[in-house]
Amino acid sequence: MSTPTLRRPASPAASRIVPALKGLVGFAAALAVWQALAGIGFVRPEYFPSATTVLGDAISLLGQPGFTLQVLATLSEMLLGLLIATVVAVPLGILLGRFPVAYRMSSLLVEAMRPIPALALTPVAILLFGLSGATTISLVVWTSLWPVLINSVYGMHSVDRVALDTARSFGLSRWSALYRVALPSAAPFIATGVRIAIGIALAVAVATEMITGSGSGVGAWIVQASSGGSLVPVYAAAVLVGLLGYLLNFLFERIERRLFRWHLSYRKEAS
Amino acid sequence: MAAPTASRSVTARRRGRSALRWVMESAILLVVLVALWQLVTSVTHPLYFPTPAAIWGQVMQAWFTPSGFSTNILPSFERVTLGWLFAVVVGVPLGFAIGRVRGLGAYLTPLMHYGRAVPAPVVLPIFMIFFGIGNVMKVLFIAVGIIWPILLNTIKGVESVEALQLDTATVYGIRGSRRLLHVELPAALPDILAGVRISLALAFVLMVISEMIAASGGIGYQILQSQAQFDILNMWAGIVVLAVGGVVFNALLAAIEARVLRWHRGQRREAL
Amino acid sequence: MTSSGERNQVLGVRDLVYAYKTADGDLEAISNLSFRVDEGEFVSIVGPSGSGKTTLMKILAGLLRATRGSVEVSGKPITGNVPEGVALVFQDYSRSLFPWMTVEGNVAFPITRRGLSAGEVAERSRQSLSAVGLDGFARRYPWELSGGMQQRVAIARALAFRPRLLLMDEPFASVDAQTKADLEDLIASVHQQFGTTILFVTHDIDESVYLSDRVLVLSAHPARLLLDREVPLSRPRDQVATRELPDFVHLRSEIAGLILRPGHPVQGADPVQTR
Repeated sequence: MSTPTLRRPASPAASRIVPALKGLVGFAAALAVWQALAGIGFVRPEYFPSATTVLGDAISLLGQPGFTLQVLATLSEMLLGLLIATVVAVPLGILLGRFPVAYRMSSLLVEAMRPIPALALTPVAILLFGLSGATTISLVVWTSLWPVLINSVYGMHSVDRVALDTARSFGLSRWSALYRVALPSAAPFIATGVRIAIGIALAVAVATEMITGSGSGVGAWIVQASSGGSLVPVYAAAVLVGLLGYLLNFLFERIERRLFRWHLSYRKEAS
Repeated sequence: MAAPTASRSVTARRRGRSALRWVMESAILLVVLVALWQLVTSVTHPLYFPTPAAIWGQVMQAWFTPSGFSTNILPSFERVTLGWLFAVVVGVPLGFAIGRVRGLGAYLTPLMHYGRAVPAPVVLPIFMIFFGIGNVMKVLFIAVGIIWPILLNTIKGVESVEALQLDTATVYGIRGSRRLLHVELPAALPDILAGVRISLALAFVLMVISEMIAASGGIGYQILQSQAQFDILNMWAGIVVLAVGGVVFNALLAAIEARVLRWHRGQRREAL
Repeated sequence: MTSSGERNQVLGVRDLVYAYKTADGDLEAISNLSFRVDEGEFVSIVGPSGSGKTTLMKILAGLLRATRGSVEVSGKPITGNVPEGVALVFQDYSRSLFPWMTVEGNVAFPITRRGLSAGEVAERSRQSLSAVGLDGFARRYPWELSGGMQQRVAIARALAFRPRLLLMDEPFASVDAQTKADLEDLIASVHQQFGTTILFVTHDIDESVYLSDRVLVLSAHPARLLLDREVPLSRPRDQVATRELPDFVHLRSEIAGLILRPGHPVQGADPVQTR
């Protein structure tokens, strides 16, 4: 018997608004500290501008197509890379998760390739694709492939054998059992893999653009901007790109929660 | 439930034999692919893809030599290790402190999620202005860039310690450091190590970009330089060295994890 | 109780009230509860689900603060702090044992750094594990054991602590019937062997009668004391023979009547004794 803890029944709206407000308090406090530190003036304001300066610059950046178009370019490259990685990794993960032999035979190959940081392959990608968006996309694919693959395998491994046997006993064929039982129960894990990939894919996309300096994407924009005397645009871009990453993650989490509300298991996933 | 009667030596021997089989099986695809690569490249001689044998020769000649090791390999892995240690040493206690104050996490985690969402490369120019392009900058850059998953996972781990375990500790009068070290820390450890594992992968990415952009030396620098000078063989050799390093670091972490989380794995296996 | 005058009181509960705060004001879960437990006694509290039994246990263990009233352990009042010398065995053994410690580690943990030498700690752990029939399992991990064995570990941990008062909160509610019978006999023999004072909470009427020297019956919503009755059965008891005795059958149906048909006192039921 568990202790009955009766709480004031919170309305669904309140249960969403209160945490959001608390989060905003955290942001406000951080901005205040930033503003105060910058106000002391122990660092030149070009290098450590105040929060208000940066936020003002960020807002004006939003109105500059020279910036927003680069952000869109990065975003589309990143999303395309993510999509390709998912399309490749999910079937592969299902295959490896379903057939232990395939899993065992490929495990060392995966373990050897997975730790290669995407950025180390930048020169190879440049040789193959030149200084183009394809270079960025290919590296995003490389970096996203592994979390999606690993989590797909993991998801397949966690499929309830009883559920699978039940489905088979009801006369479902091997394929429809896979499609109707295994895949849905592995889906939340696959989604987790994609969400982990999103986080690192944006960093890799921006980094690639910074290294290639090809003139496209927000990474190239930042390299350009930082060559001037002031770091204010770099701070502003960081704030905005961070916001983009935050929103992407937030959106994806919402979709996940909507889709997998039935998924009860506590997932020891990494945030 | 594990059969309590199973003789240990028999299981150990069986495990030893199956481990050997496992290694051989798991290597098949890797070996086949490398062999295929060797075969194809030694016939067609593609411009950008040297043979694996040639790459390995270059690795042994230029990288795995005392001077190659100390000038290129060591600095890179030193940066990764120091930045990573720094992030762990700061992130775990900080996350623990935040997680223990009930309700504080709700105020701070959204901010930290934001911090994690800022792609670290974006702020690299800022780090370069403040700390130059030396080792200090790179270590700090790696540490700051990878601390977020550690912080977030530690907070999550501390906040999700079983209430019953805490109650048990309370009833038996276990307080202070004993409670912290023997109850809360082990209970949060699976989450903490999950964060540490993610941050290790990130540390490699950030090490490479800091070396490629703030050029001064290291594996990332060598790889990019080789490509610029069209030394394709050396470029590949650098990539192989990075991969080997990644495998070694991953294996080390996996070994630590397997050791300290043996109970966790066992428990989960029994629960299935 | 007639003999209570000479025995030492271990637990004294007086006018205990526990109320939750809800949107519609305070809701009493425990209402004016008074009882005592004497040294060496095995007392059961039986009541329907939701009668605030776990809440009561948490208050007695110092995990929750009572709204009103007093609780004394060995003459010392507890007010929100954790009383010395009280051990609690939870229903959910799997989550109250520490999975990162071996069986021995779990048992030794609460008594380490309490002025005992390492040898004494090891000896006490060994003794307790032996008392619950777990010789040879010291080096195993709790999750390697069956549910019943895990609960034995939790009991051994409590025994090693040498508590003045052992609280048990539905300890056998999540094990199968056979294991439950085994564990009941185990705790009865441990009670005899160590003379531990035990307050045992259960919703199983048979169990409460079978195990205890005295049974307290609680009502639901809020918990009030309905009956405080000696169990007129000799020890040692037997799972089959004892349960067939007329005294057993009579007391069981009396309690069942109180719990299952509240408001319809069974014929011959004594009025509540408040001591």
